[in-house]
Amino acid sequence: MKETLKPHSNTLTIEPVTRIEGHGRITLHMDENGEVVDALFHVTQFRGFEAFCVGRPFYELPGILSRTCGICPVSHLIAGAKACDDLLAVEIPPVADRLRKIMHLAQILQSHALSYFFLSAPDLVHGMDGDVEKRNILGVAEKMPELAKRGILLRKTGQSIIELLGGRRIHPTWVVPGGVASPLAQEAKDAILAMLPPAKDAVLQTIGWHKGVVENFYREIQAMANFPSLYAGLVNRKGYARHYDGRIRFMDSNGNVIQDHVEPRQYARFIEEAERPWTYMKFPFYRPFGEDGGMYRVGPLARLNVADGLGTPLADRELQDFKGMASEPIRASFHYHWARLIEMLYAIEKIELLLNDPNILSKHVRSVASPNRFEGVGVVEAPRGLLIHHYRIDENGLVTGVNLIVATGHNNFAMNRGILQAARVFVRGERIQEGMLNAVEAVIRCFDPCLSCATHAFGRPRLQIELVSPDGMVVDSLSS
Amino acid sequence: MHISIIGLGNSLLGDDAAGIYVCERLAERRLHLDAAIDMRNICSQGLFPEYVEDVSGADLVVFIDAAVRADSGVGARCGLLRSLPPAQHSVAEGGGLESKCSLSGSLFHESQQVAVDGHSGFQFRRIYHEEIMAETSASPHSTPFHGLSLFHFLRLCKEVYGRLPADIWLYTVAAQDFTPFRGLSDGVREACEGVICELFIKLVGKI
Repeated sequence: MKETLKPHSNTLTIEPVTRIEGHGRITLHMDENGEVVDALFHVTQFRGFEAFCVGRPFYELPGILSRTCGICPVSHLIAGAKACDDLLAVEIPPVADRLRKIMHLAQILQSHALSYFFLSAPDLVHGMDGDVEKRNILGVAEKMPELAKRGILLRKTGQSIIELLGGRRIHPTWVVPGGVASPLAQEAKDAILAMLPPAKDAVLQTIGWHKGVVENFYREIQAMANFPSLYAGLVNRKGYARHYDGRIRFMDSNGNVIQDHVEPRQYARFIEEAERPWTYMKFPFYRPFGEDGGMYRVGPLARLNVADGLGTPLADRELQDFKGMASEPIRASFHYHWARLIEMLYAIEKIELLLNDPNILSKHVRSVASPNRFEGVGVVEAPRGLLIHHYRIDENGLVTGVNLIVATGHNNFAMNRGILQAARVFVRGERIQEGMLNAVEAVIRCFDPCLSCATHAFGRPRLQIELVSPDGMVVDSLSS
Repeated sequence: MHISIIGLGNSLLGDDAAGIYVCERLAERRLHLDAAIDMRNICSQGLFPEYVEDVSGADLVVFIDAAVRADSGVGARCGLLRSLPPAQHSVAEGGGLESKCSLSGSLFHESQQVAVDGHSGFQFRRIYHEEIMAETSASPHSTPFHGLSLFHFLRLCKEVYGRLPADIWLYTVAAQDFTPFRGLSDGVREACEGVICELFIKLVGKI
């Protein structure tokens, strides 16, 4: 896709934003001196899953809602199944719990590999100002084929594990309310275990490479969404990061835990959502601090910030190194990339641990029940951060309401602020170069947004058309 | 001999499933060929980077994709084959369609079109290594999220693993209807059977 720059009055438009999942637009508003005074990240695609799920039987929702996305369908599938577990009021068999975790970690592995190696590595390898013709995966492959090879291996490992468990790489339906559809076969276990050592080597080599190259990006580290914010992520009782279960921890920019062990069902007490007329993506914020002070970040960087540890030896060693950069939580969003690598390492180590559980081949993988509640909530850490599925049903098990708060949405306030921060550094009205605009886009890529997931309706879908006169006055408007 | 068969499409979207259908049928019938061929079947909605290693190690790779227009030979999932003008077609006596090669010397010298119902059919193209370099140099941008274009995918094989399959074949099946949940239309199903028959003949000839 070719970036197009559309000078219009004092507005600069970057459309489409490239190397992200989904369709977005950035507008930069400049003053008469060419200084950026405001920046907006518009998500221009719309999907209304919440609306058309109403009236469906509840047990269909994990499968339907996993179709929201082709990158992180497993997260939606699992969050949906957990919401259904809540409706059923069942505890799933321990082995099913472990098998779900393995699939979920495999998805984090493949998704992070895609983000790091295929979307962001072009900038790391060629630089923000590098030849635009080279800033893609082919350019990475030409200059550093071994790096590209590692990316392919890691993505393939994650996708293959998902396929071995769920029968298909994209949109598996193996995770079901009450557990999983079928037990793990010995052959699949052996095949997965065989994949892990080379994958672990590939991540470790890449972490080593990243630590060397990151020093070249001092300016980007300082200017790309580097500011104080709150952070949110799942942790267990000991404060260790959790991706499948756990409770929500909120931390402030100084590292103080401001709210801990929030039960999934209590999410609405702490998370509220705002809307803006110029984008379909919602703006969640930490309710106790209000819209102005409640901006928080989620995803790999936030997870590492809020966690006291990960719980696997190599990943914990890298986490210690990572956290050693500062005495406070890491504020630079550029380090999302590094955090992603550490999480890949954790995923590989953890999958190995889970597979070596002596009961992992048990046949008892599903609990069966009828609905016992009218409301269910499922929360997981998707690759990009907290994912919340909230379902309401009637006495017949038919859905009466769905609310999804998707990982990318949580980061919306931070992404917009980050674009403004970067634009003020990299963009000057009188001298606009492609590398500057790529730097602004690269802020977004730090967060690895998945816009397909993030554009669900809140309340009534809004579409507003404005007719604007040449002097900037709105002379007519029409709202749906 | 290592052969990769890659069927592209979405099984929920009507005739878009043509590539998947062919790939699955070939997998079911592979026993006839197993003694001589290591045939790996991949059914996918797109050309994703994780397939690059397998394909680069193959001697022959066969892509099967639905075509958006009956006369284009352009795969819905493979992306636009920009430098290849579409084959010209005319209604032959007897009501069938036949392909006329439009390039002299041509990349289309093996093109075939099987008439099914006057609208559907399939085309065969051989992809040459020189084309891959030319196409990807002319259009360097690629988007891996929803699948690479065919040429970018093959270029990635070359850059990362240093090799490409000696033979690269592309079958495009002319689609009629992408309506969700309709399944394959009758004409497209017949065209798919035609692809399967032809592929078997060609593969047996490779042994």
